[in-house]
Amino acid sequence: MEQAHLSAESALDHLDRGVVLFTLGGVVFNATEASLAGVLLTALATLLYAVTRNRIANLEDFEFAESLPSPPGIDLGRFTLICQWLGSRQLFEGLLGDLVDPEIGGSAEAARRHIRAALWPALWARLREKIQALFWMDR
Amino acid sequence: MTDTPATKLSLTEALIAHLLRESAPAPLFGLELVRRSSSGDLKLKKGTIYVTLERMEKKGLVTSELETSPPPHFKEGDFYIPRRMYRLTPAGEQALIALEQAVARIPGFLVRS
Repeated sequence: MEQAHLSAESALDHLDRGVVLFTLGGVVFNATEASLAGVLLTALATLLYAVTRNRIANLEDFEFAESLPSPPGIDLGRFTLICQWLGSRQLFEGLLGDLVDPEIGGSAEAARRHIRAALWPALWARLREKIQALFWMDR
Repeated sequence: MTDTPATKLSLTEALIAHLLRESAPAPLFGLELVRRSSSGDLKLKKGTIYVTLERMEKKGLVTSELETSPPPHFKEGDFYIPRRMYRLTPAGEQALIALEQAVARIPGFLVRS
């Protein structure tokens, strides 16, 4: 099972590399044609692919989230979706687990602040990690 | 017997590995790691700690498990999801030792201010 998961992940990595190459090619081609719309459309298509691909790849990992009660101040459905996009179950468990702390989970406002403050850096960290992995810079 | 080279650690990974080694055998959860790092020069951030821990687990440097019971301050009716507790693996410890040895070899005039 674990082996199948790893080989699926590796196959998806190859697919991602293909998409990145097409994106780079598309952006360069459209830029030489001075087509801003073309550049933006290429970038948008890549973003849509990335978000959907991560959602599909992480559907099973987040099945348990459907049975969780919503913590005060957090829209659990939206938070789950964002963590699926980021492809990180540990981020999901970690940030929600932090709410057990009375300082953070004590009020809806503090909980919301904690999640918001953590999600942006997490997004950049995941993006950097993904780019490094795609270009074999993580070895 | 062949010696496999220790995995290279980033600064953040090294700090996490150091904190986990200090607390061993007790495991630590992410927020506790962030809090324990706040007294040093290098601080861990709430936003990136879990991404880093996930990467370290994939590399085999740490291992994790969900806590089995809620913390003592937990009250009935509060929101609760079991926290993931992290421990340093032997590979993680080996990587940290390798880094410490590499740092020790740096000439003093390069590291002193």
